[in-house]
Amino acid sequence: MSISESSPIDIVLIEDSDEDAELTIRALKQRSLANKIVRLKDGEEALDYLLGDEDVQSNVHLPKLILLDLKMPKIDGLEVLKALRENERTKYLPVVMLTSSKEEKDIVESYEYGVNSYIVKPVDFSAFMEAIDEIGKYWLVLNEKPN
Amino acid sequence: MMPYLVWVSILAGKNFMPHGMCYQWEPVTLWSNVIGDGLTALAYFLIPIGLIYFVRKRKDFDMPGVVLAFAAFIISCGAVHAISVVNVWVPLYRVSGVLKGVMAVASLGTLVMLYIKMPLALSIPAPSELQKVNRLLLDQIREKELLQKQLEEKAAKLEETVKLLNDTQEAASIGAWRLDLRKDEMYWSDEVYKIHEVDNSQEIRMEEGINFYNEGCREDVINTVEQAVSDGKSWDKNWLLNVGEDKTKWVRAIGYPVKENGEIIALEGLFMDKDEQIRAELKLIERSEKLEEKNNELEAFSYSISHDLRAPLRSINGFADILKEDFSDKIGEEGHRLLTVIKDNALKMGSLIDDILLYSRVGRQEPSSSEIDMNSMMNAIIKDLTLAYNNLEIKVDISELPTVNGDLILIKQLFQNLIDNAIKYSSKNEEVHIRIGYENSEQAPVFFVKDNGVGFDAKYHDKLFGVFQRLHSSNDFSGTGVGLAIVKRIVEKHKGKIWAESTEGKGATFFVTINGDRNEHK
Repeated sequence: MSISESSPIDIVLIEDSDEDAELTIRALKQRSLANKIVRLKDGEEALDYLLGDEDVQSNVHLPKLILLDLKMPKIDGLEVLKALRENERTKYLPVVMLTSSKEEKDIVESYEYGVNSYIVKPVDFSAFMEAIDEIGKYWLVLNEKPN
Repeated sequence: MMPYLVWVSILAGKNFMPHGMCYQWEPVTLWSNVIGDGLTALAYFLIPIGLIYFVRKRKDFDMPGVVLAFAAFIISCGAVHAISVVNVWVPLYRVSGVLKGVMAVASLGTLVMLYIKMPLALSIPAPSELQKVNRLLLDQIREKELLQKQLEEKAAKLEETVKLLNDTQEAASIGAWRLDLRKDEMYWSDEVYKIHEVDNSQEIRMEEGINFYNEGCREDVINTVEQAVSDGKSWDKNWLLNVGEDKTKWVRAIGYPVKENGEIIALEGLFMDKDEQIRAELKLIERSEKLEEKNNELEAFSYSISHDLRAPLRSINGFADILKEDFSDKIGEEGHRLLTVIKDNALKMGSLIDDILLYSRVGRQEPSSSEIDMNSMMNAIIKDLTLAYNNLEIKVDISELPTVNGDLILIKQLFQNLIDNAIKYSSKNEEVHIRIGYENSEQAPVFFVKDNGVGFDAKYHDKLFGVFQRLHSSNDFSGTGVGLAIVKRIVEKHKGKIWAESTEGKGATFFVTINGDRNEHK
């Protein structure tokens, strides 16, 4: 699967944990914030999906938002972020880190690579739902991005 | 025997009259002449004796010829006067003539000699002048003696200084060396020999010097010395020497070029035995590297706890909620209660993880230092906490506080935990009353946080600040048992002290000093 083959999508969720992915998708769907969500299991899949098709010229098919987990097998979130920022097509793509890590080091590095936002997933489910709701509203509704 | 008159006729020549006849034997004329001539002759005969005595005594007198000639001339004059006396009565005029001839020869001879020796005689200094010269000479000798004495004193002092220098070199294990580039000569002080563990009778050649260094640093030594010779660069390095068999020794080597008219003519420097010190330092570096490694491991461990332990908790919590939402009618009331217990415990585990991570982070982190406005910091904490405990009636009395130096984030965490505890353990009162203030002490201000809560049993005072140590059950008061352990770590990081006073049921007071050595900071 690649972007050009699919219909326009709102969010790409890059998350290795099935449980976290399920909770996130449930939260997004419940609040009717995203109609089309693509979930990818790790960094490798993410890079294949987002950057794999060299023929894609326009950014019409790019998602409105990337939710990116930090710690993933093979290629981790930071590497994905770095690759996205280095690519002309994806360098302005909104990327929100959605992670369990509160480590200062991770936060600083993410910002160094140009993350748009850094959110620590709350353990409490209602707080988690709240956070996803805020993220969705902000990035999909309020935020304006370059065409 | 020839008769007297015959002798007279031979010596006198013709049959002359005696000279007395000329005086007509008039006694006054005759005797005045006779006595005058006689005494003159006597004096003239005695003078040479004095002269000869002088010449014999003063062997250094370098003109004895003139004196002897003068003596001969005087004697001949004496003889002429003596014969004049004889001639008064006995007319030995021939003898008289001969004597006068002798006198003439002696006189002329003396005259010639005198003129020849005149320049020499003139050059002989007068005794007064000699005395003057003598005095000057004596002064000079005295001055010389004085200088000599001073020189000896200085030499003695120098010797003392050299000895002191040698002793110092020995005591400090510092040796001096010099490499004369023009003569290709190497000088080592005794201590340098000692450091190299080489007998000081051994001559050190420049080319052999490099062999003393351990293979590992030879290249650096060569480069350093070459740079010093070519660019005039001095050095101060730690190098490893090979001493004896299979033994090495660390030295601090200092060297600098010596210039003469802009040209580098020699290298000079010092050698210091730094073996013990450097080995200790290396050990220390090795240890801190190991520590760093352990710290990194710990960090990686914390990281994985942070990430991997939280994720399942989120799932437990989340899916319990989904169960409640999606199957609400099927699980019943008891089912809901059980799911809530699961959720609460998952959340508690979550805060435990957070607290443990914070506790470990505080331990690893070196606190920064800035001036903290305690008043605005306290106000921010109280604002946050009254929001969090909005179901409680909280009264806070806070006095004007002094500033402290410390890590703002950590100090804020410290007081947040203390005040949070104060509110929590007073939450069963109708009104929570917190007092925050400070007392002055000699070293640092003692801050206190006082509450009107349940307090604690003073007997368990030592368990108060331990990790996972709690003096109240979590059913009475929620908590992880890490809060005060974090507080204690922060206080220790700031070289401060913390203690608490309480009577059960009558509230507790926690005292804190920050930067116990603040006087050093000012």
